[in-house]
Amino acid sequence: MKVTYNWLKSYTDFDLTPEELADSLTMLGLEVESLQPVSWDFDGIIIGKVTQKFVHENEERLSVCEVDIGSKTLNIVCGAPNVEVGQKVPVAIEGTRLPNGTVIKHTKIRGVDSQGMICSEAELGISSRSDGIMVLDDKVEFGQKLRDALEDGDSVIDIDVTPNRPDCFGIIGIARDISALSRSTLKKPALDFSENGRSISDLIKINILNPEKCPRYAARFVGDVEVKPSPWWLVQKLEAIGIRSINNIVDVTNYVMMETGQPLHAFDYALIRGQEINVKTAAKGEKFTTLDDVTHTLNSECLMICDREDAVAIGGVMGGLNSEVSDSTKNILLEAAYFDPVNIRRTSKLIGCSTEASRRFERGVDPNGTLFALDRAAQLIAEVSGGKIATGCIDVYPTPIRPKMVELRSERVKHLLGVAVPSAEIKSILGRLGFKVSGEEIFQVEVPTFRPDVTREVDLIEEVARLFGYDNIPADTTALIEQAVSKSTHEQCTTKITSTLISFGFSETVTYNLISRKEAEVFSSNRPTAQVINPLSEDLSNLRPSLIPGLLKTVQWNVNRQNSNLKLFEIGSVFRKTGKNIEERTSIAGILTGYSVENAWNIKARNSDIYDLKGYVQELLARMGILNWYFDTHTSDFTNKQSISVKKNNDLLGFLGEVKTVVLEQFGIEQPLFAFNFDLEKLATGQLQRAFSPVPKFPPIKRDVAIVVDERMPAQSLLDEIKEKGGEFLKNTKVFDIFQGESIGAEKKSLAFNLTFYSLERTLTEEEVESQMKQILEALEAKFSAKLRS
Amino acid sequence: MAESFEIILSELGALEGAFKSESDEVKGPQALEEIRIKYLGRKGSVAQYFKKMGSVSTADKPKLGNTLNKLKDEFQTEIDRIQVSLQTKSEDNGFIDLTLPGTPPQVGYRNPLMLVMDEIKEIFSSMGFSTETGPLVETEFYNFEALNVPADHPSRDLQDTFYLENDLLLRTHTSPVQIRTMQKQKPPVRIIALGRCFRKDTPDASHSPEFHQCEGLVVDKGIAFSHLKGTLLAFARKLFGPNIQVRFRPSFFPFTEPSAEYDFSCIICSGKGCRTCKKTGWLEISGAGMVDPAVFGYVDYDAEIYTGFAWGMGIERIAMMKYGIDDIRHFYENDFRFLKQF
Ligand SMILES: [Zn+2]
Repeated sequence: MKVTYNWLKSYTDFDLTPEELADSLTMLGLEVESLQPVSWDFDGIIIGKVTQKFVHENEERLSVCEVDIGSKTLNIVCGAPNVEVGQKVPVAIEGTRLPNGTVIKHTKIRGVDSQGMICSEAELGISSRSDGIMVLDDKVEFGQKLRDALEDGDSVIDIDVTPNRPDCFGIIGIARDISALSRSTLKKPALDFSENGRSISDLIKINILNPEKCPRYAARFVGDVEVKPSPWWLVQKLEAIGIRSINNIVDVTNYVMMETGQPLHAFDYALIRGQEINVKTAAKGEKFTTLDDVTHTLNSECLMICDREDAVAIGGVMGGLNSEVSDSTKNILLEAAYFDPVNIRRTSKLIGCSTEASRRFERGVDPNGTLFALDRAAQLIAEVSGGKIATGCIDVYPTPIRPKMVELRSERVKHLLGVAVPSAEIKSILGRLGFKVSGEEIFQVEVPTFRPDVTREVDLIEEVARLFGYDNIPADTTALIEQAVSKSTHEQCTTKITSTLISFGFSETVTYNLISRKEAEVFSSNRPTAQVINPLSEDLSNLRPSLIPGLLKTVQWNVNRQNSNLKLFEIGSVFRKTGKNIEERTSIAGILTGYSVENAWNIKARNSDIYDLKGYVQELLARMGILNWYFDTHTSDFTNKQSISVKKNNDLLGFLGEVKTVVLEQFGIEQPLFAFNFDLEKLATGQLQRAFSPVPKFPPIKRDVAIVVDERMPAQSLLDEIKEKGGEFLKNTKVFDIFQGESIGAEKKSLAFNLTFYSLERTLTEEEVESQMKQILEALEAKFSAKLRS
Repeated sequence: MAESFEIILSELGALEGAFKSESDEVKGPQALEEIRIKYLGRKGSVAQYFKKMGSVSTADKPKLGNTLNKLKDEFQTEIDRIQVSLQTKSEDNGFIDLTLPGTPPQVGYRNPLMLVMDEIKEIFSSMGFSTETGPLVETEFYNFEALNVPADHPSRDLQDTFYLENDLLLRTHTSPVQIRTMQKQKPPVRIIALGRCFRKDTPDASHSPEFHQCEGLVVDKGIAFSHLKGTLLAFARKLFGPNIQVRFRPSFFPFTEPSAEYDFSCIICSGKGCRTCKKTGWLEISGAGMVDPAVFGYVDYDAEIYTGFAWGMGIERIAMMKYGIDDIRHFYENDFRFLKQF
């Protein structure tokens, strides 16, 4: 909502600079988005004075004028009938580009030199008035720029009016808040007009068929109007706040709406058939063309303004093309009404049409401000169009809406704000805002109908707080408890995983939950994915079934920017459809791609592989305190055949594997990539706080052994067997070498193990370890035909 | 008689193995020098094999030459490497080029959004707030209705919502967690809720369709607006330092009454006015207010006995202020060059 400083000041005489006013408005809850001087973009337009006027020698309808623009006198050919000697006029000098694109040149018009152009309002882009040149006030000085002459030091203030303040969608409403703050009087414009003999009741009949949707409908008649461009004062006021001037009738309805917040509509009386207005709902599927030439399809909830035959307007939204005021309009029927806010909003949403009028009605205009706005508009229309106002007005208001009474306890103000506002101050604040207050300590407050947002005690307390000033409420820290609270398991688990993975060299990413359908389908295991009905774009249309697509997109982003060695993870939500619901779980996923170790002067690069990932996963599980888990085979749509699952008691905790090349290609990735994925809740089942196990005091005994087995023998089987037969003192077994070659035979491999034995109670003897080793080797030979490598 | 090339090759294999095992055992520069002489010296093993060039067939000559040169290079590289590692072990053993770059440790980096979330959690935790969570997929009831945002009310326009099938939606704020918490718990309540939210905003430097919020809620007997001011002032000072000021301005939110917008004094210019704060000295943070009695109605709290306050906070906004980040999209791109700074 835009207002100008001067316009606001015409309703209340505050003593504030534009900057101070803007600050005050903001601190009242009317947040000022911008404050700018009113400026007119009249580049190259200079005020000139017509000093001579002759008839053109070759064309008697043209005048040849001498125009003094201060620095020099120009010879200008002018076709306007209204040009006269002595006028101050806007002159476009050579080189000026007018808003319509015309560039002014020194030229000859029918053989006579013309060094510029005297402009009409239309040519300056101010209004549609093109029937003559624009004649400026005689008081302006010629020779200066038009822009400087029009700039009267006014400022435009753009206010972000919150939905609860319909009253501030009228400038008088904003002025009321300012007057309450600055304790200046609010001056509403005085009504002063005369009515001529004809009685409105002879001219129009009004019936409201749906009073619940239209509690009030009032009308006036202004006859013998001349529809023409608006006077400059009106054009200027509207243009300053961004409203385009149309003609004097429409401009007045807009002006009064901006002033009072009450939308008005002017019908061409001649186009109202049967001299009657019926306010009623539309037929289902009824079509109607509004004055912007758009045809809407309505339903039976939409309220229409109809004449005897048909609809002439969509109530509270927009008038119809069929009853629009035009240049030939002679008589005006002026409407001011109060519509049910919810119904206006539904209609506006249904037809996808939000107007200045509908925005006000859906927030709630003052049901008792109708007649003031109607009279004000009738008066101004009569003034600017020479029209005559018919006697009386029609006001159909079957059930008047009365002001609400709300009780306010002084004590409750203190209770809620934490500061005692004196009773006298409370009374004064509410009084200044237009509330009627009676009583002491416990007040009975009559809420004016222009404040539909105030219905409860707490709403009144907010009004008191606003004017008392939020700055004047103390900051009290006594409600704080200086004591840390314990964290939930979920939180502890997230923190632990994050710190663990960061320590492994994985970086934390945050990606969108919304991904494209194509991306979602690759990872959805053939289940339907959860879709957004009204997505911003196809790219953000589905909820992710997995964190991996987001990680792949991150890899693509980075590889495209020359960072191809990546270790990334994310903890976030994943979704899947389960019947009518959407199941949401927290996942943890990571990827590994490129070099695991990068080249340096003392280090040789090495590509990351599935074993790196396996190592990270094993250590992560250990740190999360998960016990008795095991690896198993795994299949998924997006990983290679040789993938691994992590299970516990036959329950899948997560998996790891190499992502398929076809999937990587879809994400534009051309290098091998390994990924892991876990369900956070399942990782949160571990014992984060574990009991300490003693550190051995006695020296360990280590043994290396290399055995030859069939090349397809899984290492895990051997490890399991070694553990099984290793006895209580075998604490650790590592695979430290794998070898294949002719020397050990075809289709064979050699695995070298490093075994560590120790006891917590004593030093082990070589003999004990030897005998244990013997048992292990015998078992391996018996079970896997393993031979010692010689 | 021409010696068999194959035999020489197998011997070279053995030589390589011997070199590896010996060089692995080297303990000092003396031993290393001995190995160098043994393998690469003028009369060393490699030199001996070069002499055998004459005894292989013409066709095998270049192959042998190649193999020997490779072997020589390999031995030399390894000896050089061991030399460097021995040098770093003993300080008094000649020249050590300490201007060579250090070996970078393998560490991961955090996304600054998450860092800020953790910091916010930590601060509120120290002030007695516990952290609550809630689903991202919400119902109309939790996201709007119970927060006093009725259907067909213009306040719905404040937040452009993504809808899912079956009347589900993506939460537009963390406020549903307020309702969920109050439904399962009687006062006193003292919680924060952090997490992802969604609004249908086209991404640009300052908008993201997905973003993070921190919601706070305190409900008890005798809670007043002054406590809201005190809490956010204490928080702001813990986060940005003791000189931060907090300003409250009247505003409107359907779920609070009275409602406020709150600003922090500009951390760039300390409130004097600069480009970042548009010369106002203040940086807009978010909304707050006293819990609207209508909201208490939805969770069966007696608004006459209990009062409370709530606030919201955009994590991206705080992170951008804290680190001077100028584009919200950085958080979601996860460019490694960006992450590496945190
Ligand atoms: Zn600043």
